[in-house]
Amino acid sequence: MGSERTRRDQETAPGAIDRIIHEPARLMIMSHLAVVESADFLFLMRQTGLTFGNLSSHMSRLEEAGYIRIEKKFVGKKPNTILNLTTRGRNAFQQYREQMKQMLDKELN
Amino acid sequence: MAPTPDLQKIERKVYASKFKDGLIDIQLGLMLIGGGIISTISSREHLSTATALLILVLFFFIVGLIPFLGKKWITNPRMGTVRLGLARKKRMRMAGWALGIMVLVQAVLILLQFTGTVRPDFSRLQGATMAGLIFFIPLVAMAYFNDYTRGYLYAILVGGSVTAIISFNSWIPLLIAGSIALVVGIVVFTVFLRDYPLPEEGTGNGQ
Repeated sequence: MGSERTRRDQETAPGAIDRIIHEPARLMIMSHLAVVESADFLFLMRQTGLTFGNLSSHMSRLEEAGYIRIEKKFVGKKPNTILNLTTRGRNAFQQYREQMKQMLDKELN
Repeated sequence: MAPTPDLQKIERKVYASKFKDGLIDIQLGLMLIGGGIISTISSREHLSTATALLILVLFFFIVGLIPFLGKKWITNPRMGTVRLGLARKKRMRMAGWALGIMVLVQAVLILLQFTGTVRPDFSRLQGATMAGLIFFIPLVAMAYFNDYTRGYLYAILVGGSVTAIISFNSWIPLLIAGSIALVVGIVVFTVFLRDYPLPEEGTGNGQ
């Protein structure tokens, strides 16, 4: 429990690169969600090319961090999972992009 | 993926997925073919303008159901659904305004010509070209604002066929344009069905 918390703190410590977003699959999910209002699970799976299991686990990780909101509902008789970015997620993603840009600029200069 | 993802590119890719099923192409193709056939029959059978128009409107209504029902029963279960972001909604509103203004200007120009207020001294070819442009320009604008690459092809096909119809006094160019759009649509639709199979039961919804 304690080590999990430490890991999470390290991942989101101020000034550090957000490790939750930095993972390529999660970055892809966040990028897709950043440009839409919401998308369902299948759409994200198709767009990102992730497998069902992969997307599910990354989705849970992002939800745990409070970056995405997951809404489960029914369309007719079929279950449907809708995902969207929370305000916290949007801010974290924006900050991540700025940090990455700054880092790249520094590298280039 | 790049360290800083190109969000504009991703957004365009997400929006372009809307056209991956080819349903719009099929609809346009059928509308052009149907329009050509109905116009040919109505002039051959000497149907009144009102009757021909009624048949045309009914036909367009039925064909208009293709993308609507197709999205619901074929595309969405295979591709999933998305609600577009604010930037895209704004772009679509702009497209709507641009199209509205263009149609209004063109309607005024046509009305002025029909009422005899303006009598341009055009040759048949010049008139035909102008008529073609009336269809070509809004379709190009729609293709541009919607990031719909195949839309440019249809703008050329429709604009060109309108010019040819007037120049040669035949509906055949419309049938040719419609057939091309229909074939493109069917090919795109087939590729879509191959690339986007129905997800296995219980794996497509993230439950």
